[in-house]
Amino acid sequence: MTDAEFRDAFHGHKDVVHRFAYRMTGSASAAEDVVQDCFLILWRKPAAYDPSQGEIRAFLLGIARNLILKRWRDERPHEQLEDSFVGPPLNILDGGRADAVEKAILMLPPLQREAVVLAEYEEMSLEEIARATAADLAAVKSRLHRARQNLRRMLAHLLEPKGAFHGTK
Amino acid sequence: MEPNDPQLRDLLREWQTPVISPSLEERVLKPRRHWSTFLLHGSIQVPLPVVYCLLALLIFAGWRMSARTTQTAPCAANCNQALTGAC
Repeated sequence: MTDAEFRDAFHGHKDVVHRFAYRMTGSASAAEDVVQDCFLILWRKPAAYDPSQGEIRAFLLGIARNLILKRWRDERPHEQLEDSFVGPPLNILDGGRADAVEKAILMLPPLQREAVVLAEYEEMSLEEIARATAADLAAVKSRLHRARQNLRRMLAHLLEPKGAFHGTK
Repeated sequence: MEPNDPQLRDLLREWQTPVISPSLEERVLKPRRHWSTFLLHGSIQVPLPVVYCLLALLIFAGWRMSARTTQTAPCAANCNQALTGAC
């Protein structure tokens, strides 16, 4: 990888990696560390990226994801990445709707969180998510479904009941 | 996200991420230099204790050399005197 190619990759994808890392960690400094480490890995091992295996975006998100999960495991060695978490309804009076969303997403188990972040915020297809997270399609679908259920439950006070009738008064 | 759940999607989109700090670009792009560039323009950090040890070694080596010179000097003078018969 030439210097120019690396610069292009950095300028073209730093934002997506940063958004993903921030939404996974909830920390601006941790997100920037992940972006830095992610691109240094690309610089040191450019051969690890095989264009025939997909876009560089999915490759970089895969690296970022591994770095984040490693950090998560180091901080919480006894917690499961994917558990039968059932999100309680949040009753956030202070702060706005964005704060409630942030809190709800950060409460999700990491594997559910990455699925919903990649699907919702990065608009990745199920296949792309499966590739970036090294999971099979069925697992991604299941995580996404549970994440959605949990978010609906946790943010119920900010959402209208599903199927509510929007008629005229 | 589930295509039939636009309400949840709209709500989730309200959470925005902060802007990347400008220093990140420098942190990522600056350290990437070819080794030949490093040989010409690179710098390394040396811990002070290592500097003290190197200085001590340098002083010791200098002292040893000067001590050896002062030991050999009279001998050389004697030899010269013997050859010229100056004594």
